[in-house]
Amino acid sequence: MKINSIIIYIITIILFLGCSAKNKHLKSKHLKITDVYVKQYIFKNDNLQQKLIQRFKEYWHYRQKGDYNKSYMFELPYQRYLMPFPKYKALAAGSYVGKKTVLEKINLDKKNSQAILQRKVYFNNLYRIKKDKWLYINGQWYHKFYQSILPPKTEEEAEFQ
Amino acid sequence: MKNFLFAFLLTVFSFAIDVHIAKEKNISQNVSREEINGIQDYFYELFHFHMSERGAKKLLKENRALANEYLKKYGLSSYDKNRIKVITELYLANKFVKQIQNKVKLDDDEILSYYLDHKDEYLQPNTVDFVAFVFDTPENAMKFYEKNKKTSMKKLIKIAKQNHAIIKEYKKRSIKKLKADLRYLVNKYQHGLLPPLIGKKSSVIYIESFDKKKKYKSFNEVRKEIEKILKNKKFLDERQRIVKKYNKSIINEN
Repeated sequence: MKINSIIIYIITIILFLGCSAKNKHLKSKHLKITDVYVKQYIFKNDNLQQKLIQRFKEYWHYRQKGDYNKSYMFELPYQRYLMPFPKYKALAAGSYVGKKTVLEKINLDKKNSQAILQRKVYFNNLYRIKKDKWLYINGQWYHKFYQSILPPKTEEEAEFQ
Repeated sequence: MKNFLFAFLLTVFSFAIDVHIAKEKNISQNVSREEINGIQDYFYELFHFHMSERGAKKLLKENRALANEYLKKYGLSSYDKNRIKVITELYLANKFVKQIQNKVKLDDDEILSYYLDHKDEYLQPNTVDFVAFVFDTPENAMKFYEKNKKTSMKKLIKIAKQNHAIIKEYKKRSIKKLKADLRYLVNKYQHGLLPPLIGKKSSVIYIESFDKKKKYKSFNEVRKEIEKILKNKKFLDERQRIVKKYNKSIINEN
């Protein structure tokens, strides 16, 4: 009788741990995002595009929240190598931090592992149309960071700032 | 230091450098392999210019003679001496940082992300293979062109030889680097023919083949180059980091 109750106890513990691990996983995967939206007509069946949309939503959610520690990890690996976090934070936190972002268009260039995204950023009642560049590296999408504090140095920077 | 004009005596006492430079009565005409390599590397690092061995030897000898004349005439001021000293210190300091930096390997994602973001900078140059038949006069070149517009390559060479033309073959030449008129012909006309002559020229071109497809250099081909670019861009940050570490160790010693 005693052995049986010990076995039941162990099984219950294992099940409990398994569920909590699963919930933790779901929690990080399904982050509650209420400030980044995707237009209905954007095709979401493509796996690559689906991954990109998820990354886009998480990234802009963190940026809008001012959680730069997290958004930093979405930036291109070589940009992170060249730009230490304090510098990134200083250049990312501009006066034009939006309150809501809507993904409007995706131009996926699978051949060159990149995508250009068009987004609408709302600042109270006003909005601006902006562009994002994302690159697919070893199974993950990364955002290309363009600083928006200083005047643009290149044509590309001017286009994406 | 018999063979050297400059006797650089670098004595390192507690990271300080003492430079001793003296004039010589008889200037040596010999230059060592290391001196040649040194000046070649210096020009490459500064101007991205590959100096030939002959050029390097010539420049070393010229500099040697001129520098010695300067020393004879004006001697070495304390400003000169200090300037040479600080340049040497800078060279050694930067080399020290680079050696530490080179031990740290960049990871694949960092290099690959740079490659993908700058892919257009790694386009393979479009190339062309062509043959130039050079005649003694523009009239002979024109005659050759008029008679052989649709002749095959083999026959053209045979006829050109009979007409005492000089035949020059060019393989895998970058189209971008061709002279403007030749580039125009390669871009406008098909391969396997003689394009028309532009102006009065004594040479006729035969376009054998070309490669005009948009091709990128592979990631592995440019991997080391990118690693170097990223490390150079990060150099100043690295230097600061190492300086902080170095200063700490000095403070601890004291």
